[in-house]
Amino acid sequence: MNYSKLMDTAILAGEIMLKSGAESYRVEGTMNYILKTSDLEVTEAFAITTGLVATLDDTNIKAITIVKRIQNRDTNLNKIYQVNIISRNLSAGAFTVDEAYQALKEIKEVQYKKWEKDVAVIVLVASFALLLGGSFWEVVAAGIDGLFLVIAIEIGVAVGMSVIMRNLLSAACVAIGAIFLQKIFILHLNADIIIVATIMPLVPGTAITNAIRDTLQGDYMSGGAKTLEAFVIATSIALGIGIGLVIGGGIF
Amino acid sequence: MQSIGALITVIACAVILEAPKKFLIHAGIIGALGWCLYLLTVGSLDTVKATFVAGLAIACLSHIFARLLKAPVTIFLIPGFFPLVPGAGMYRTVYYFLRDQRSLFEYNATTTIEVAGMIALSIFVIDSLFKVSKKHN
Repeated sequence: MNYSKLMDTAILAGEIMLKSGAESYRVEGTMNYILKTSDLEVTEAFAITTGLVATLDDTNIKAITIVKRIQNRDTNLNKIYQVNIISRNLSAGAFTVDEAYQALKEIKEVQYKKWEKDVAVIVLVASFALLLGGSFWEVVAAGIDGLFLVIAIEIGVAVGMSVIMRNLLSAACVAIGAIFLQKIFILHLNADIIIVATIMPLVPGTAITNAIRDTLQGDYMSGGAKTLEAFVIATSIALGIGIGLVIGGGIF
Repeated sequence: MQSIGALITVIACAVILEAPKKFLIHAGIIGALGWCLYLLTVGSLDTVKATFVAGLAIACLSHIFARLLKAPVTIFLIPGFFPLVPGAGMYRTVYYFLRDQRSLFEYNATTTIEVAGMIALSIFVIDSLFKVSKKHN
């Protein structure tokens, strides 16, 4: 068996999963699954939020160790799902190592078109206003504010801003938009519901929950890192809203 | 009405998170049922306990769907929990901290950590139960 190819496959699988926002224990589990197909004595996989290490060793081969640094993370559930299928196929013997490596390389980046995602953001925002107990017009206003959010994010991405700056700018736009909508609508609107519903796609609710999950699993490194990440994101949004309220209050 | 809102929220969220297309509706149903249970229990219990009850149901359903459809449980868990996770709470915590409104900051910080903790705990409980039942078979 080509051990270095197997190692590359495991590392690639782990990298894709970590970049797609999979939990550390799941990444380690999948990498171990793949490495175990070698039947070597020592197979180790170690993953934290910002990187991973794996080792293959036996008495009659030279030890192989690869370190991989993970720079950016996002959530992409489809990639996690695809890697899971490939690793199942590999350990069941349906795929050879080469086939698995090729399949991992061929996983598609995105499956939804850009406008579909933009519409999803607006729908998410509007329906969340409903969950927060908003009236019909507040739901409509949140949807419109969601459109401002989409535009702000697009501009941020086009200019190449960092995530923190992008959150700050988007949150500021949302706050200004909410105040603007409150002023131009004849009926009374609750600006707080509109703002909170509109920032829902940005806020780190899932991050803080995953942080506690990792901590309960015993992955203290990942748990701590995700907690910090959640607070940094929340700070950038709160700052943005604060700035937006001041500017919006001044203009309108 | 609210449950339909939750269904739409969860499906939209699943699209943003790039969930596989064929599982969108499953994730939506889990989220809608979870929110429905939350609304039913939040009257008699408080927010934190109602979150725990709804969390148990969402985690349990996610595991069942994951087993049936041979997919990682995360695909259903993350979108399914989206209406419940304390995103707004995280924002309000930091917002009141920056505004220097101490009592509101403390209230929101505690609630956020309690709610996030309850969700994590409910997932943890169901995970452990499913692991035990797996070993048993």
